[in-house]
Amino acid sequence: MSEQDFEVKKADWRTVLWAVWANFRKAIMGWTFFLPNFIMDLAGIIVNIGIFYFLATFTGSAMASYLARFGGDYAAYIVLGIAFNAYLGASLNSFYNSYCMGYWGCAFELYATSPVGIKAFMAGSILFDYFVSTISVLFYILFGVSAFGLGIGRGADLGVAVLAILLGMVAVIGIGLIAASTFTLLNAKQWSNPVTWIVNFLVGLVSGVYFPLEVLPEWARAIGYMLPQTYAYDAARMALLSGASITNPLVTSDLSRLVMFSFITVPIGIFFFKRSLRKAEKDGTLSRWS
Amino acid sequence: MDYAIEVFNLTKKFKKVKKIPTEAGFGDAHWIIALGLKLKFLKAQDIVAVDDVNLKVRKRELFGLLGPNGAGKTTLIKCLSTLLIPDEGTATINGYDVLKEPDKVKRCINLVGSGHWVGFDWGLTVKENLEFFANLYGLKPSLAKERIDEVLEIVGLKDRQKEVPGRISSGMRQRMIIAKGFLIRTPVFFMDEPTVGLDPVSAKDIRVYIKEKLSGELGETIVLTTHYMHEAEQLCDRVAIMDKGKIVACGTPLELKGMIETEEVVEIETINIGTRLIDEISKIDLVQNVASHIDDPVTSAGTIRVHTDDAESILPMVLQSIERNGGKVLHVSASQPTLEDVFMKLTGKGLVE
Repeated sequence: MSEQDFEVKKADWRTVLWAVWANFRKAIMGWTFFLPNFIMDLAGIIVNIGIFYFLATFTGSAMASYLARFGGDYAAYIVLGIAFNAYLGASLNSFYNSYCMGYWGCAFELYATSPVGIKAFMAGSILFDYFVSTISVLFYILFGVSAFGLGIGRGADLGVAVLAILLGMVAVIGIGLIAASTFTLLNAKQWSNPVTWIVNFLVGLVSGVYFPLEVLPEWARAIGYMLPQTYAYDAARMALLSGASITNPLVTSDLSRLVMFSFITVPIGIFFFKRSLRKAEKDGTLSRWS
Repeated sequence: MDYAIEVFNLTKKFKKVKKIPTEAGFGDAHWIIALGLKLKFLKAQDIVAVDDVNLKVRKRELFGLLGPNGAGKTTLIKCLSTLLIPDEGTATINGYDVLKEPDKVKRCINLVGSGHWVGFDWGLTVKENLEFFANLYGLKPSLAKERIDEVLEIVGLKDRQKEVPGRISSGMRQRMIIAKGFLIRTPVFFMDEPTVGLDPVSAKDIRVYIKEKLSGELGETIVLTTHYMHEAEQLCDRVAIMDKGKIVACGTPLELKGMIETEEVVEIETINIGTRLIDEISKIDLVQNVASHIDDPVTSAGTIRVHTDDAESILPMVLQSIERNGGKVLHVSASQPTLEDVFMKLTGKGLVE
């Protein structure tokens, strides 16, 4: 065997894409394998929409004054908030969850010695989280519109909404990477970590997922303005519920802040994530049974 | 280049970590416990897993790392296969530095770890798992198919290829791990206790394949860790004996056994082997070392190996001790030194304790 003629070639894009696809497919198979759980996941979305629809009907008039720029429909406001939060939640949580799977499932060592590396493994499971989020979002919106007649889509600027959510995802991915790095840097290995724990808590409370920021006291609003989710939800809702275009000053302001957040969070996230991988290689903790 | 592997003053230390309680009672805030332990971790003492190891493995050599559990064999292999970053020193694989050129090193190496869980997809069949691994390493489909058929035959899983890993025995899962390793042909192959958990027939078949095909025919440089001395003796061109992170001796099996050739080894088969008996024999004058191996836990029947400079003088006293301790001598013979005897001579203890 010639030393120069390695059988294991440097991973080309096809091999990497194949590995990403293989892990994505594996996650889908795992998700749909236990049929009752799969059905319960989907049923949970319907139940959620129902709860928030009736809650919105009950409290809608009290909220009306705060919702002028979102078309005034509280039920539509809240369903969109939950749907968008599924996407940005995936950006926040999936890196950490994927790291947990790689570690506890002992896949990291296998991938680390293969030409594709552990990033291909992580990309597959992260893609799966986005896939599930997409199904959730579609379910939320389609079911909300068809069953409860939510006023979503009439005169909406879909492009701006998609752009806002995409920019929000990028900004939140930075935080997601910081969260994933706590797995090794803070030894937070048991499927929960301080970063997503705190951010998820704050997002639910002060980013406008369930109610507009205007109902909050000044100090709580100030915290909300420190979260990229706040701006993503605001711009996307304005675009979908009142047809605000990219030239709308409020939308422009939201989008530019999301770009700014991305420039800050993503490099910090990459820095910490690389450090955590390095530490795992130093400590011998790439996989549980190592 | 004469050497496939060169190790220079390699040292790896670990912090002595306390295990995180799985039922901490903090629910989603489990990381609070983790943070608390982190503070303790900072103060924890170091355990030296690999201690200033220097080593050279020639190209095409079948090299054994022999030592008891915890000797540092796996840690050394992981450092060499870029899975662990050493604290001090470095190593080269085919001339590539494991610290500076890990990507090039990864293309030169193949690794078979021990344990049944490593990287399997429990939803795929045995064959599908192997196809998955072949794809991961970028093997062409035609070559992958040919290789998978070959390795399934070698490891004796041809008739179980359509089963999922959960439906086959743990020994078969270990064979699946080995099959995965045999799929890829690289200049250097690390095998970490490959035959642990295998039945004797499978273990023998796999040893033959390693020796004749991978080493002999394909000329791969193979580093194999084991705590089975017969495996090391049977397979390896050279063996390094490891204990407490250090390499205490290195050479061909013959050279190593030559280190104790002036000693005589008496092998006694008996029942009722116990700690008291071994202690008593150890205290007899002219006895250098005593090792025992129990084959039948019910009757404590097995073998005692006594190292001495004068077998004739000590034998009556040893037999008396056995009798006093309720033993019954079944067979006595003069034995050739084994690698286990060498290990005992060097470290004062047996390979399997």
